[in-house]
Amino acid sequence: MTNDDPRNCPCDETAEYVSSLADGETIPPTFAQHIGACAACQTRLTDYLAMGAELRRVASLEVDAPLPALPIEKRRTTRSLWQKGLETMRIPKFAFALLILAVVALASSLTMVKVGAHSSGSVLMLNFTGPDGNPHQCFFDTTKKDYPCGFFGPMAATSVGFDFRTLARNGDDIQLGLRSAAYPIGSPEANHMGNALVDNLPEVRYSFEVGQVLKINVEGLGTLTIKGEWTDHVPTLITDAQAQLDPKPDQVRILSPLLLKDNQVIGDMAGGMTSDDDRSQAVWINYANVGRFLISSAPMKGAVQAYAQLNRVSFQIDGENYVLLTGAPVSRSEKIWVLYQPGFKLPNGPDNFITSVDLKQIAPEAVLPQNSLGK
Amino acid sequence: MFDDRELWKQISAGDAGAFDAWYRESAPRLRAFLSHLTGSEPAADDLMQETYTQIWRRPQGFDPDRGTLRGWLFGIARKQAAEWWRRQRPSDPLPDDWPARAITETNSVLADAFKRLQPDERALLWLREVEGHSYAELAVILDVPIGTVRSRLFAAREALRDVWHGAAPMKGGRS
Repeated sequence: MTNDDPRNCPCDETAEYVSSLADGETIPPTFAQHIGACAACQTRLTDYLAMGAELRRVASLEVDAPLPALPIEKRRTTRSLWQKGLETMRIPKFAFALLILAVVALASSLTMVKVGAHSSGSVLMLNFTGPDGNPHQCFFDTTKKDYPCGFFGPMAATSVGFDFRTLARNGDDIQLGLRSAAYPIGSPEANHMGNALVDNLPEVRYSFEVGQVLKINVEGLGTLTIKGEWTDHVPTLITDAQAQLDPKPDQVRILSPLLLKDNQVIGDMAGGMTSDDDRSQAVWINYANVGRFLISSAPMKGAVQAYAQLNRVSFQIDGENYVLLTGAPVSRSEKIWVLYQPGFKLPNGPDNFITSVDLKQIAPEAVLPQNSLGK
Repeated sequence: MFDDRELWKQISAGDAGAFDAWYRESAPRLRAFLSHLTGSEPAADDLMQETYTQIWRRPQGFDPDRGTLRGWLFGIARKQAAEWWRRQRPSDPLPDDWPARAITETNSVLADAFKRLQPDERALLWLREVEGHSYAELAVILDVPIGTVRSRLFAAREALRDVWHGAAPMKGGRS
């Protein structure tokens, strides 16, 4: 008999030691001797070694794929640039909480030059969509520090709040910070959605490459899909999903408003912009030491009728002439309404800001009967 | 390469830069491991993200005296993958690219056979053959005695060899 004879070959007992041998282990002499003389065991050893080599070869093909973004939220609390930025934002936390249209930057169909994924473009256009597939946009001037973008509003039957900011840029690699919240519409949290809520949440950091898709799971919402593109500038009109030079019906759109009273400048909101989209809403402009102006395409109790022509709104209050100059046509209608509340100031809020609001929420006393507000 | 103790000290202290560098160095191999373990690249990405996120948020449990940081990382990922498998319903369809991707992209009959092993067998073989963990490290990762590592490795190799040579029916790859 020879060792090749299965009847004389304790291969079953030896097989496990063949495995050990393939792993570089030493094995008892008896089994080592058997393997040296047993063709079946040597075939098994060859197979084991070949299997390992093939697995390593396959693995070698797979380790070069681009890495997805890694979420890293800060563990330590520091006073961030974002927090500093919030303190100087034109739109106060309180006002954000009131927003119905709550838009700082939304989708824009404006013509702009997309300069490609690999470019010297300095403005990052962040396209993001939730589970409902509706597109939204934020713009970041990466040449400026702490250039935040907020989005507050409904998304996929959920009230969401996002605070984006760009933390760093290295070529096409962007480090993005995101605070996010999502609650069912109608829930107590959803009713207070705004910076005051979102700002207290941890910031998660994501690294991604412009041109690549970043998918983020937002608790309570689902997948938020983000893709970045470089553009050559921040568009002028970032407040309207179908932004055109002509305002939409019933829309009041205010850009960078300068307020004159008897030909004297009494308020300047350079760079601020917002729009309301229907007659239940109003544009709220708050000027320091002047007060609050609510502007709507519908009459309001206590409001005066104003004359809107292209980029200027003229009105008269207590015999004094006011002109609001803006950066774009204000309204399709020549007749709009202005409610002035002198000395109005938000408790703990900034003096200068501009936003869009639901009139019923921020000034219910000014709401006229429903038939006046209907379209 | 990183010194495990120093790196862990930095990560525990909340050094995001150190953590990110470690992620970039270690994640490609971890993702390959998870991809073969789950048979699904999206699942592998999700599990990888969960693994690193868990470590970043709760940097506890690593003992440099017990093993390497890499071994500990793969051990956590393996548990995440095992949990993922438990969540899969038996009636769930196999991923679309299962196991064709291995054939089309790697042109490997063995890789195809590998995907037909049980998840535990795949994990063990991958950790040994690809990641090169020693028996002692595998014992820590799997929390089993070294003798068990030896016997399970043998069983996994035999299973793979059988499928590879077509000597055994497909197991389906589901636990």
